[in-house]
Amino acid sequence: MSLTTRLPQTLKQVRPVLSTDHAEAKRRVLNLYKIWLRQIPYIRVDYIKNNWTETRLRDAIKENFMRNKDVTDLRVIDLLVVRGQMDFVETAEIWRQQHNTATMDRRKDTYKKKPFGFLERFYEGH
Amino acid sequence: MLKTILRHGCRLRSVVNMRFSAPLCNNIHTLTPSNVQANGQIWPHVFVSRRTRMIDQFVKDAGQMRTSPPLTPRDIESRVLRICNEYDKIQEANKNKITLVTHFMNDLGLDSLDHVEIIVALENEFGFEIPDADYDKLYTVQNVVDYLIKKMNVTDRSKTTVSSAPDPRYDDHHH
Repeated sequence: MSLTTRLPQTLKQVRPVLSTDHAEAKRRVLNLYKIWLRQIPYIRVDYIKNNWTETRLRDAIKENFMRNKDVTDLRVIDLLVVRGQMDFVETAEIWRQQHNTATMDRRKDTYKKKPFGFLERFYEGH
Repeated sequence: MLKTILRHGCRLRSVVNMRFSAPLCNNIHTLTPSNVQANGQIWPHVFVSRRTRMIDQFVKDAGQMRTSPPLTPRDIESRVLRICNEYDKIQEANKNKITLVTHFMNDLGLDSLDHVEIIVALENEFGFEIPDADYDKLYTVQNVVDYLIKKMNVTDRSKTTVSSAPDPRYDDHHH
């Protein structure tokens, strides 16, 4: 008789961050994607030193969204949406700098990547 | 050179003429009978006729407002298909086989984010915003075309262009 079997059903539901079900979360994600897409021509102009083309910028945004595509936990999805919206506001109001926005586009080699995977970490000495 | 000065001079004077209305000119008493025209202007006849010709030309140009050609359903179809073809996530094999019944997710293998991209491109093309609630109506090309037709009130018969020109029978204004 473990604790989880004796817990009443009401305690198993967690308090939602923003959305109560997956459909609502999906709506939020799609909305965020839409406002990022609409901002593309302005990003190109505001951060002109990065020499972004529209297709490149679209691919970068898509890649950023697809990185989290396997998340199923509702609260994590909401947190990611909130963080994405914060990034959007910072980019739209030009609170970032040119290099700062370039970090969102993974194909721009701005820094050495962290080792991912056992062998890479082994080579680094961890 | 004198001729050009005279020509430019008379053009300026005709601009000044336009601001004078008929009642004002009645107060000018230094007029000789030979120089007074019907509308009270004191300039020689050639300047008056030039002014009226210029104004007539302006009125005619403004009256024939050039509006865009009326939208037909075929027009909308071709534009939607062109946007779908230009979308770079679609494979080359499918590019020219997009018909009215292609489903974005099932036939073309796009996902919901690509669908959003296509809808944003359509919004940019047609110039109005498509609300979120209508997104799940727009999964096939046929649905998109029908939705746009409904939203833009496109009828089959071509609308006659509305112009604000007055009755063409009275186009020549005789002063």
